[in-house]
Amino acid sequence: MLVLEQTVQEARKEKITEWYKDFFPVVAAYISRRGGEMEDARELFQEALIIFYEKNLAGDFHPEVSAEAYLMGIVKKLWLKQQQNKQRIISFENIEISEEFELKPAVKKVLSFLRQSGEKCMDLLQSFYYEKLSMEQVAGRFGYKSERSATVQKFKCLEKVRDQVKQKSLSYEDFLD
Amino acid sequence: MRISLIEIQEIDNYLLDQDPAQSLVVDVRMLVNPQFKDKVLWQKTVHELVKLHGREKLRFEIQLVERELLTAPKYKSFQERIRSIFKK
Repeated sequence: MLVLEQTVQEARKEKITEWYKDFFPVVAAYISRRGGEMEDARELFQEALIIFYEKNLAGDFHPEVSAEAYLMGIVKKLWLKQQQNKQRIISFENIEISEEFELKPAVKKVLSFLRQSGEKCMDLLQSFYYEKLSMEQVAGRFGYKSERSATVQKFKCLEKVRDQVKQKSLSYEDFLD
Repeated sequence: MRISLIEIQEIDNYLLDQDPAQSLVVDVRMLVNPQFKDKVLWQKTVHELVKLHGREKLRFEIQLVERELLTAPKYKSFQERIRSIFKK
């Protein structure tokens, strides 16, 4: 189980390193040519990698487009968005980038509260719902003896977090806007 | 599993679209039972928050890789290449 978990995290780190080494110089040159600074390139590339990673997880990345072309499409979109300072969804070459990347203060506060009050639950939930690990992998990462125990814990966490979010959101009027 | 957890599981299957045959049942329950609808909507919100939490963790991992690539001596040539791009 431990080996399985190390493999998941190490594989991701290797992939991120590979993407960084291969594509960041291209992105940096693109941003620099348009008058951007190193900081702009770093921020945009981080956002682009997150979007790219999520598209991969969701199976939305199609190999007929090269990874570089796809990532550059995202970067160009983000750069345009930053320049135009728009807060709405922009659609370009079927790549959608929504404003959810910009967290509202109330959402930040609720997230911060959830991490402080139960980071293990949040980590367990994200490993299944965000990283899309199997329940076997989740059990290994969090030290549960079986998938069944990990599954029960997952639902207990969902229930706990749901109650906390409902309670906490009452304090923040703009949370659900 | 206790009853409330079974309900959580049913709602999860609905939100993740894992049991299309049961979706209609959940839709009808939401129409006739406002408390149940409330639970579904809050659980959906939790899914969104968990996604944001996962995204922030990923961002942290990316930043660690970035820091290593931009500071570790073994990546000196990469650092010089990037520096040259922004040299005015």
